[in-house]
Amino acid sequence: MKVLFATTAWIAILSAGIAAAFLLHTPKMHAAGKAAAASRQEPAIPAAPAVPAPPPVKTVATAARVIVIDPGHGGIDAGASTTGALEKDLTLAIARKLRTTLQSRFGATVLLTRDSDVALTSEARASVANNNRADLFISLHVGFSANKAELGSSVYVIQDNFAAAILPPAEKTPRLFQPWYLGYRTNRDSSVKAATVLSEELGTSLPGWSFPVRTGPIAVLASTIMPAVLIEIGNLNNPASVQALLDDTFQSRVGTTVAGAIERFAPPPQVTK
Amino acid sequence: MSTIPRHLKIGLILIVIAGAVSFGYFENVVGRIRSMVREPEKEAANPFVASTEPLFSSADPPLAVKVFFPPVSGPSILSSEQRTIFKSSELTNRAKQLLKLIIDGPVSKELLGAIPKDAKLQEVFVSKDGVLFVDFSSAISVNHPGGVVNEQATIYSIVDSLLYNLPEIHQVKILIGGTEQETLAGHCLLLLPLEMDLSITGEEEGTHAN
Repeated sequence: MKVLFATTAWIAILSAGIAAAFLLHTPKMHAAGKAAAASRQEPAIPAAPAVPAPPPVKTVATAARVIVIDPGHGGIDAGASTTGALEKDLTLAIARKLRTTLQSRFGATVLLTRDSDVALTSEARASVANNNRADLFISLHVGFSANKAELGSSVYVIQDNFAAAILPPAEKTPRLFQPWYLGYRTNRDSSVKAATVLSEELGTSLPGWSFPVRTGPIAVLASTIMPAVLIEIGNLNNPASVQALLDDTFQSRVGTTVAGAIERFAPPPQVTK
Repeated sequence: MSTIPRHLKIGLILIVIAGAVSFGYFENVVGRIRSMVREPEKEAANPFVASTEPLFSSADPPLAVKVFFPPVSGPSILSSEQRTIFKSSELTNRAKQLLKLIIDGPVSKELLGAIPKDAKLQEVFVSKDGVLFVDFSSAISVNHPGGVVNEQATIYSIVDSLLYNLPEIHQVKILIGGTEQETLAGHCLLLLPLEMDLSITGEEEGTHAN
């Protein structure tokens, strides 16, 4: 008897379920479901903030026509800090000066991943460069070392073979469609070349400072599909370094030095008059 | 039966269905009440529950290990010092002993601590395919002073020390507060497991303990 009841109950529940699914599958419900799904989606990747129109092109001094500059951190993420200086403010100030220099010197289209005090994920930053088909991506950061004596600067490129282990062994060679975190592979050699030139130029232009080329699993450099580097400038635990970073002249000098380096590693195409 | 009108047949079927649904619901409610009253049954062993065994026993032989810390100065991001742990039979217990050394900091005055203040090891898991999951409290991120080199030193002090001394594992995945985080301090990607990188240590590439 109990078996009979249980069987009947199961059949009834199944029937009721099918009927309910049929009855509830109305256009109204469908629309509500879509709305709910939309509300669960990730926030939209922010578009590049509006930038002032570049001045008329006077010269073509580089092949990098679209350059994206990424001021590190922002919003609730202040980055490294010391009394009177936050990394997020310093990177934004240097990025704005670099933008002005690159626009006036090259007539290039220069976009900042953020032009205000907002937080962005690494993926959103990389997307600004990828979506705008940038020729070059430069992320700007300020360092912090426990050693107060160090000026502490570096130029980073993504680690060689970063995330390669996520591919099956048969797919270690480049392929048409790559996983998101392997975007860097399309231009890693160019990134190394750019980092080497930047290291030389910054080391020469800023006496006493050294910018060794380093590699690491840098999030913002993993999925950028153009030459991409991260420049870490100074040590917020070093008073001389903080003083320099807060100085307008120093910030401008960083900008002109980076521009000079871009001319070296991305020379203009040969144009016949 | 053939003389029963059609509408009565449909009505009868609906009554049977309604009765069955009511019965099923009643059974469900009764079952739930019974399970609440009944003594909780002994649950199956959870593979993620921490081992109750001690990290080592006095009978375990000593094991020389190389632990990586950031140097006070110099071009390398990490340098190493020789330390000793007990050679516990359980891999996770050896990993926990290594992580305790990293958290406690170096003996040498030429080296610096790599782990931010108040950061605690919450748990260590190992997967069948040789990935060691290391879960730190959120202080490792919140109290981190920042800087790319500094963040890389924290991460690879953990990754290189574990992978160098525990040849059974191939990758280390760092969790913070029990969950995946994009980065530790805004620079190094933690969403994927990391492999040993001795190029930042000044040590010879490809060497392994044991």
